[in-house]
Amino acid sequence: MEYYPLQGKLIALEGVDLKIYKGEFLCLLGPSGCGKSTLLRLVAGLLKPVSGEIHILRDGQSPFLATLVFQEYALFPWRSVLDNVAFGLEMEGQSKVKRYEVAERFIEKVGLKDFSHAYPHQLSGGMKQRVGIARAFASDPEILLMDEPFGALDAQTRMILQDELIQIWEESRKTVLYVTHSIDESIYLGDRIVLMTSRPGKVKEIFLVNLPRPRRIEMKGWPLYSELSLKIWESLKEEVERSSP
Amino acid sequence: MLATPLKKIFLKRELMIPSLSTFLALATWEMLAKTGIIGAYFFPPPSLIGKALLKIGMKGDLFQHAFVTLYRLLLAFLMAAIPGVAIGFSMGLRRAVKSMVDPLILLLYPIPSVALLPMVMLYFGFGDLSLLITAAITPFFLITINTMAGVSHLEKVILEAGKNYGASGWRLFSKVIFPGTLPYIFTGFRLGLGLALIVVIAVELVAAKIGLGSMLWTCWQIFKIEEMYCGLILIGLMGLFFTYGLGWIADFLMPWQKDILKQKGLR
Repeated sequence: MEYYPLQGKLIALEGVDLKIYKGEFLCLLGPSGCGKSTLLRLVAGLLKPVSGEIHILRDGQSPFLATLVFQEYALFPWRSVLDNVAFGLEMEGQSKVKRYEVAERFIEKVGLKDFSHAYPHQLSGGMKQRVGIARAFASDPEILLMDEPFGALDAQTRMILQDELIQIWEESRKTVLYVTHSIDESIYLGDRIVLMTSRPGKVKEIFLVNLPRPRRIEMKGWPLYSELSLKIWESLKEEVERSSP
Repeated sequence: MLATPLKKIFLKRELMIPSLSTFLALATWEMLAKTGIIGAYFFPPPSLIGKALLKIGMKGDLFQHAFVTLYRLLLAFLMAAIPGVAIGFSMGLRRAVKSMVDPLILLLYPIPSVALLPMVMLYFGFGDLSLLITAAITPFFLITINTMAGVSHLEKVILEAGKNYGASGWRLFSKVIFPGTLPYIFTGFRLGLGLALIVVIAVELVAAKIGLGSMLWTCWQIFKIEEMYCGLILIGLMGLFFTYGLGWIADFLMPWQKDILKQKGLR
């Protein structure tokens, strides 16, 4: 698929050919501006490719649903935590009782049970993104799309949220497409890591993460972890240097 | 022991300070007028104005004038608000509408609405309708411009989230665009209502037989200074009441917004 934002002056993506397997946690890694977020929005259906196609092979009959978790949280400020998480279900036409039941379950999973009637501005960044994650899971999507979800958080909160995300994900094993520019994050979370070239973004290399699940923090000290990290950096470095000479 | 009553006083600070400052201002005025430092003829002391207020209030004339002004104000405001919000949204959401209407607004907005009264009367006659239309013009522009600004200030990711989670068409509008724009619409309402009051009084001064504006003019002509002050007080109270009233409605409809302003230290 290809995508040109604004009058075709710039080719964001070109010839991206990518298989995402059901139930895998796939990380998209690449230099800034390589079109990772664009790719995510194409899968979400928020943007249409100028040329090429997106094929999603699936067995379900229901309409394809891919929910996004945004770096900027993108919570509705006029809705309480509960109504934010229930938004997708409300749009599906679910009854109030049903959607609140589901929403409350996921709010509890992200540890915000006492805050379900709070408004987003009353929450910290980490709490906001927990709401974002609960909202994405509550709709029970086929693919979860995460656009640098922890990019705006401080390093400590980020580590805590990574662990929480892994925990929730390992319970549900949803297919995840996760955009990040952190090598560490992609190894810690992902099953496979797709390294993209600088603009126009193409798939450069795919790395398999051979770490067992459930993932644990000690694994960051394993030789396998640091070897993979170094290997990815060598490949990524070329692209970063190419995009910012 | 001491903490509780002190706390209570501080909690009511919002009420205490304005009433104290008002009382001090009135007391100073009263003293200056009574001691003759300012001419009691042009500046009758508040106690006299109060007596006059009671006297003409009993006759019912004053309240008839006030009632007509109130009715004109509300009608002019509605005539501005309903099309203002509708056109503001269509300008914000459709670029074609914006480029069509924008030059018209830029051309007409700077003209003081009172200056349009003769032209409006040419089309709509000498009746109340001309007064209402004249008073509605500038508030209409203010509400249109603010609604449009609200739409363009909607965050892109919020719209993306709305669409991604299944909202489209009317539901995208009613569940995402409208609540996201509401704070701006209310800014337009607040500005528009204030201006509507100003213009209603102004057009009443020149072109009405009844209403607080025309009463002020009559009082000036027959030199009833105390009654003139009564009219001014009622106009002031009307403005105060509507500003607070609209604030209460805004807080009720947008509880999140109140806290955001507080957090920023703006309230």
